[in-house]
Amino acid sequence: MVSVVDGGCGSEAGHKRRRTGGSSPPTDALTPARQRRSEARHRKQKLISRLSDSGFQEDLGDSPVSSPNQTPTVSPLRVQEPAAGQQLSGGWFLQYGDIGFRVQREREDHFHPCRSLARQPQLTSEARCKLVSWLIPVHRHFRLSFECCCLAVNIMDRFLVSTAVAADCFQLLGVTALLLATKQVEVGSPRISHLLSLCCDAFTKEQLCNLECLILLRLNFRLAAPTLAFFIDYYTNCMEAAQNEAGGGFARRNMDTKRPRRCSDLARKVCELSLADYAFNKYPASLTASCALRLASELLKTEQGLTIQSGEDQWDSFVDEPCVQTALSERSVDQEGHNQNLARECKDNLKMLVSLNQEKLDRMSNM
Amino acid sequence: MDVSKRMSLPMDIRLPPEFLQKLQLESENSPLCKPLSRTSRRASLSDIGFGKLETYVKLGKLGEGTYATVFKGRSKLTENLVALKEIRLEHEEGAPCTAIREVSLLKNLKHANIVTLHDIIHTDRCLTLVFEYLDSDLKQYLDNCGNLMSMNNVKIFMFQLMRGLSYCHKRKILHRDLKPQNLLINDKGELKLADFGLARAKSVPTKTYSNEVVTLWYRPPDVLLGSTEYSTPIDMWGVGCIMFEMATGRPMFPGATVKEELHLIFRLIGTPTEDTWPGISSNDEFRSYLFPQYRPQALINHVPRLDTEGIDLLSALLLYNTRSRMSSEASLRHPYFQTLGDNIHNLADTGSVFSLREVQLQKDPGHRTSVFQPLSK
Repeated sequence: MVSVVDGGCGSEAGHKRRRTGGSSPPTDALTPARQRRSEARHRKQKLISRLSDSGFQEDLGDSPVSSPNQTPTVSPLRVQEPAAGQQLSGGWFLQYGDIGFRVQREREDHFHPCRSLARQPQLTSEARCKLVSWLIPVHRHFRLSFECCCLAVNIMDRFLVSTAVAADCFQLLGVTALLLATKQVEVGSPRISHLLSLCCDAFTKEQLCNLECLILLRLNFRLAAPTLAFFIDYYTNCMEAAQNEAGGGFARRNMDTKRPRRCSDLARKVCELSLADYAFNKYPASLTASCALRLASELLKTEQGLTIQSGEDQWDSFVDEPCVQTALSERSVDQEGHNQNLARECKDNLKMLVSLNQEKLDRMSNM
Repeated sequence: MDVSKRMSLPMDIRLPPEFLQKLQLESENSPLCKPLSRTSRRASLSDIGFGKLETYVKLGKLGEGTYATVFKGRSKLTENLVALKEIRLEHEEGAPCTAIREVSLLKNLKHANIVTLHDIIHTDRCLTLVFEYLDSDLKQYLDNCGNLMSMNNVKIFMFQLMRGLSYCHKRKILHRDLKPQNLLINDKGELKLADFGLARAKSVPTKTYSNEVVTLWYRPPDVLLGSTEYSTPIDMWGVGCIMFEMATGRPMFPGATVKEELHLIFRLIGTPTEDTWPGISSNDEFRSYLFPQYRPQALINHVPRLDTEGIDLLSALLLYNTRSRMSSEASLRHPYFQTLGDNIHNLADTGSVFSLREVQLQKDPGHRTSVFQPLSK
């Protein structure tokens, strides 16, 4: 079960080293207070890092770690570096953000695979959870974007709405949806043979290509779905813009400009968890994204609340919180017509999902 | 993390046929789910010939795109001319991403200045996209008028180009291969963007499907220097080059190689500096070329027929700094277009600019065959 705690035992030390060596000042320059704070921060980061691989992996059995290319350990709070060409730059949000957001919001209903398992005779939400929990590390293995991962799950779900799939073909559907998602949004796609080898060559190339065609036809080539990743990016840009405005007059305005980014990285992890859980299938992407960001903002605030040592933290929790809330409420849940109750329910469920996985992971690391 | 894993799902087999039958019935009787109702609607369309290859008569080859062959055709249903784009589906890595992207993107685009995708036909080995047919493109148009366009028409074409592009950019869709050949023009003077196939490949391909060389003339310097940033300003540089070409009758930067292309750009716009292009001095590729320090030239000397507002717009499109380069959305409100009137901003997406009485093409001074005289078909 060692493989379960990704980046656990082995890489933890390296992780710690990176943190203290990286963004913090050299250790010997730390005052006791700041040292305490950086330790506390480190604890928090560990906690978040354990969420990173969706926490469902123990379901995947216990085969030995033998991936051909070592999956890079993902530092939880590293600034997400999108692979070249995958994501729209901040410039797009500047020029088109609000109109673009409205367009995607209007389109999202048409791409929402509601109750994708309702008519599946063989597939259960457990099987879907297993599959998505496997696809998440696979997408990371190929260094694909979160956008691509969300799209793959969306393609898979929408196909499931249209077609009954036998349980033993479910994994083939998963990798084929991932391949289609990469063709839609990535610079390059993994080779089919590589994808098949990850399924232990249980399927043939012909089967995969046939299924690829079938998916395209059943979905009528409509692959350009609005994703969780897009909405998180958009809301994050709003939060940054709001923070810049609010902080404009302060001399120390760049005190914690990374705050929205950290919030969005955490929200992305939360969304990743939600992808694998069929209970979240019923919420539109924009709703889940905004709830995840609100939750992430609260979590970060609580974490920070425990570590308040200096005026800095008080200052930024003072300034950030309203920023996040107004940036989100202006653009999302409150005014865009989402049902208030649905939003509350979604956020509560996310909170539960996070705490469930947190406990599970805490227990694992104590073993 | 071990990602290589056959899922431990039941090694169970096919579904019992009775079960599938029942599902089929259920799905037909309850059109709850959109994709299913769509397929059933499609079935009825196919009864009258949509989605069937035999509905279209192939008339002759129009050309080779970057990944497909295009034929002229006629629909037996409507008697209208169509363009048939044939894409081979059997490739080493499954369906080509260019085809997937072109279809999935065009499906979301319904706009008067974007070519309409009428139908998709899927046969065993081939995917055929059926597009509306437009008889000319901007390159032919320029040839036809002896490279001397009326400046009024330049403006109307520019506005339509910006309009189509702004619609795409709002939807996060880039064209990435704008050039006069990809701007189709019909006998009314309506201009439509075509050829949306390009993948998010690192660089735009240098060879076509049939091994023809792809032109570098409309590529922005950031892409020529290897930038992989996927953003809308990429398209806006090419728009500037096309504007210049319409106003002068000759291509702006007709370079044959990347180096020559950059050289032509720098000689006219000036060699970039940290001021005009933040970060350029640390670009290894740029430094390795060792270009001379050219000073920017006044554009008006090269495009004497363009008025002050036009020059202003052109300069804003040809900025090195992608963050400052003018966006298509903003350019629609540029003073250059003011003479087209206010109503043009209130058109529905699918409304043609020529539905407004104040927007009319003029006879091009160099024009030979009378394309735009009222046709008595």
